[in-house]
Amino acid sequence: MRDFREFVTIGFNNLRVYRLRSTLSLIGIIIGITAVVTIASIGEGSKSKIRKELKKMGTELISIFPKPVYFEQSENYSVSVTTDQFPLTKNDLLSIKKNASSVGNITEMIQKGHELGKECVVVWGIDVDFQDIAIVNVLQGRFINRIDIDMRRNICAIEMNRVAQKALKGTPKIGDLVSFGNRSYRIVGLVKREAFWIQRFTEMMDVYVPISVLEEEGSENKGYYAKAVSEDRLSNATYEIETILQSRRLGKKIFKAQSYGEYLKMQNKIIRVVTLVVGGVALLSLLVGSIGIMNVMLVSVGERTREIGIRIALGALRSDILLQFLIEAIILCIAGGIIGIIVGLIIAWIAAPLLQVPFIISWIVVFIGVTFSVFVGILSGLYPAFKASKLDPIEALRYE
Amino acid sequence: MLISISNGWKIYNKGPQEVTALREIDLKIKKGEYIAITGPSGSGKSTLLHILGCLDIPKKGEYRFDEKRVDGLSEREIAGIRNKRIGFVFQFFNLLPRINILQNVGVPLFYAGEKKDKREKWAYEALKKVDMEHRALHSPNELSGGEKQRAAIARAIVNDPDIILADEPTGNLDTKTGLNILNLFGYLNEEGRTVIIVSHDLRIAKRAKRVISLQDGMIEKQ
Repeated sequence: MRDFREFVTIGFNNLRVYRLRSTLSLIGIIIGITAVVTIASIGEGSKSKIRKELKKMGTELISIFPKPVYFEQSENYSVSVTTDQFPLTKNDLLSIKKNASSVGNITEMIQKGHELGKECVVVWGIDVDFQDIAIVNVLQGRFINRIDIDMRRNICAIEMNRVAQKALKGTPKIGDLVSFGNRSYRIVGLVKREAFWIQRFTEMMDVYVPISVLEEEGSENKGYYAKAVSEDRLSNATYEIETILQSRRLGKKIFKAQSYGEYLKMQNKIIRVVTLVVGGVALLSLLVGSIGIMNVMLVSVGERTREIGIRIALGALRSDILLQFLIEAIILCIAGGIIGIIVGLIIAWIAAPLLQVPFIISWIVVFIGVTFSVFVGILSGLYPAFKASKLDPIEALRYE
Repeated sequence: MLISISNGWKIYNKGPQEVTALREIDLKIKKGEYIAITGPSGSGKSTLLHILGCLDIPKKGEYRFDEKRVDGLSEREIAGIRNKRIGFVFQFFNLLPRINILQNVGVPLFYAGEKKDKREKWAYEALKKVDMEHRALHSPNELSGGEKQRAAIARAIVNDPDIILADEPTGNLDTKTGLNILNLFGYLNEEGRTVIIVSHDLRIAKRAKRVISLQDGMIEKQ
């Protein structure tokens, strides 16, 4: 049995002697591994961010809205205008509650757009189940309750965000009056909604009022928010809702049920595609690096022809010679890999806050870096090592 | 019989030409002999040495090492013979430049599969035998020609081989140093080792117990 460590020692020795050449040949590998590690790390960070957001938003949530007929463009925002030919009714809601077994909870709601100063305000007419489905936390005061809805009270709860602060000129006080359109509401609570993060082109202020108040003004833009019994039955729930609504409307598909989980899955997919594309470029640079290493190894085999002859005369097997050169290439690439991993992680650490993703040192990333560098080492070392092992010892000994 | 070549031929194909390096070689060598192989350059000395050292095989005829046909052995067996049964000494010393003398002497032990502590111990003992232990941790390029050759001899004997094969071992040394090295070979022969030296050096022919002289690839006298 060979003392395997000796191959490693010999390898290190040779690399140390040709320090400059080794370092130069490493640059390609370093760049490649750096790119792979950076991308993998940022990718992991993005995924974890999305996973967190998914959890926060509630992956089991579904929104049901009439399909927009056209969009109305205003100076600051666009509003989707829908047909009121087949509005959603209380009976639709009851039918879904009764027949859709994958739906855990469902609530109806109306959204209306207003302006307050220069800010856009969305007034949500909500029912009691909204608090549970949208996960509304009360920061101050209280949220809208059954009695408010039954009594059609002109009260509101305000979603606290930057826009609300701006539109109301500071934090509003409980008991104050605010007006949207031609109606005034008394503020009963300041709240924060966890679910239903909605992608908007401009930030808006959200205000919650009893649905009964808005119903008095007509039922435009009525929609449902639903929650599946569990995350894995989300698509069942979506399908059930759509089927029930369609069957109640002579087979016409006027409503679109959309789950937030799916939306986020799509975003995940986009990230994956980007990772793959950039990762491909990184692999390409690894390939170029690998050719560089191969070149250096070939030069090294040429220079050490005599050494190979001596070693064979002293009893080395061809496989010993092969292994020695292969290990040298692998050492070279692992060294490049380690540097690449460190540089890659540093870049990821700098870039993560800029891209608003958390910085994560995952073992998968390090593992990928090391695996790739060993792989490149074998890839680039195999041919030169094979060539070295095939040298004729007599010719090699004669070689000057 | 340790070594026997019968009707050995070596023919090289150099482009369209055929070059006959050795012809009709019949040679028997017993254990413990001290042999000088002489002849002008191009007479086939080196080729014969390569065949004796199992680095090459004759194109025709047969070569038996320790009664076994070498061309019938596996690569592993032949490498084993080179490693354990034969010690090579070269004209240009052929020490590996990037490792120290102790490590150089230990190389055959490494290919014999010995662990590091044994390699160092035995390499050191071999260096002692040639009075070179004080140079153990030096790099080869810090040594004089004579010192290099002594280190190379230490490397040749580190695995305790039966045969020492030397190719012009004094060719690159001054007269006095060469003499020193020759004394060393004499000593190794006295120990019971078979010593075979290829050389122009007349002093070697004088010391050897048997001289084989080659001319145009044939054995002229033995």
